[in-house]
Formats: sequence, structure tokens, C-alpha cells
Amino acid sequence: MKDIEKKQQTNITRREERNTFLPATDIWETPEEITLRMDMPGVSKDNLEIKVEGDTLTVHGGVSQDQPGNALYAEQRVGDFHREFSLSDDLDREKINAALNAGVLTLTVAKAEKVKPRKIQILAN
Amino acid sequence: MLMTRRLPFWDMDRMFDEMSRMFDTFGGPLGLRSVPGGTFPAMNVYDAKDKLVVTVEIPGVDPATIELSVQENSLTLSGKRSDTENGKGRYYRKERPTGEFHRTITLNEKVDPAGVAASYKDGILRIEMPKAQAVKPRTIAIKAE
Repeated sequence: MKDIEKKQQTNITRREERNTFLPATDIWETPEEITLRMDMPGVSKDNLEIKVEGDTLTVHGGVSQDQPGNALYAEQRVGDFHREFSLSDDLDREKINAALNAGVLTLTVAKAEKVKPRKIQILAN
Repeated sequence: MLMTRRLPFWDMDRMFDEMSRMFDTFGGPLGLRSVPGGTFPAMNVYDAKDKLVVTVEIPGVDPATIELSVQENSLTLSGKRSDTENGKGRYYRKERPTGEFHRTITLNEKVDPAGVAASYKDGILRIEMPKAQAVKPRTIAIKAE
């Protein structure tokens, strides 16, 4: 849990008077890397922004606010996606891969060499 | 193992969401943009003059596996969102709903099932259904004598 922690959102984020929402996210860890997978329906490659500043990883996805007509019934909320994560020193900031597929963003962050598990050979005499 | 299956303030968040919608305020409380268990995927229904348009937020699903059927006054959607990576590592957060879904909604106007068109882009399924002839607005020209 120390590796990536959600940054506390202390106030309401506004961008050009648009609503922003946290995308639902799965985070899992393997010995080599940490993967973040986010649901961002309606976000295309061109409207996606991923930034690393210091130890903060920011993901912002813009969603078109166009509506095809008068809403009769609505469960989806209109707004953009925005979420920030803290990266620990155990992660390699230079090795972040991003893939967007059918509204699902997958980010993989490689672990720094020093924390990767190392097998130690036992020499028999 | 640490795993967040249910979010503790989910219902409260939902309530706030309803309230902010009720009062039509922008910049309401931040929350996950998803819907509580049982209502995946989220659907919107729009009236676009001569047709009804339904948008469904259903990211990460192969559109070929989605089953969609439209009758005169109802729409049924079913499919499965699989958790392909499950078991590969240690989870810290699990907020994305997975599993099988099945939803039926009743349409407030009759549509023509033969003319339904559906497309899937960026995780959003868009279904366009032309309204049945009988309910389409008809303009009647007035002849001058």
C-alpha cells in the first residue's frame, strides 16, 4: 500500500467550469511492476493527458459534453475524468507505459532495479 | 491481502449526487464516475426528434460479445466484462465492476426495431432507434385557398 497511494482530494476540482470525476481504478502489483487500470468511457487518445511531476502522477481525460438530444433518463454524469496518484521512490518514473483501449486506460510503472526481487544462487561445496 | 471491494461511502456519495442533480448545481462533490452495484452499465436515454438515442458506458468490452435486442418498447442488453488480469498479482484497489450484466429498460415511445443502429467507440455504446411511424411528429401543410 505504500507504493501508490491516492492523493487526498481536499477540494473540488474545476476545469473550465466542468465537472470532474474520479475514474474507477484497479491497482495491482507484480514483482516487476505496478499496474493501474482505469475506466474512462468517452475519452479518446487525443483528449487524454498523463503527467508526472515530482512524485505525482496525474491522469486527465476530457469527455465530449455533446448530448444527442433531450435527456429523458440519465445515469451517466457529464464531466471529465481526473485522478492523481503518488509514486514512491521504489518506482522508476522513466519507465511508465500507457495504453488506451476501448475507454480503458492501462498504466504500467516499472519498479526500480534496487527493489526487484533477486534470486541468490546457493553454491554447494 | 488488501482489497477494496465496496466503497464505504458509496451510498452517501450516490445520495449527494442525486441531491446535486436535484438542485442542478455544478461542481458537486467528487466521486467515482460509476454506478452502484446492480446497475452496471450506466445508461442514458435521449429524445432526438425522430429517434431515441441510448448511450451506455461500457468500457473495455469487445462489442462482438455484447448482446443487444430491441423490441417495440423495450431494450435489453447483456454481456460480460471479464477480469483478465485477476490472479496475476496483489491487488490494492479494485473499483472497476466486472462480471456478467443484464439490463432491460422500457422505452417511453415505440420504436422501429428493424431500423436500429448501434456503434461502439471509446468504451461507449450508442444505440439509435428510429421512432415508429405512428409516433413521429408530422407537420401538416396548410393549403391556402
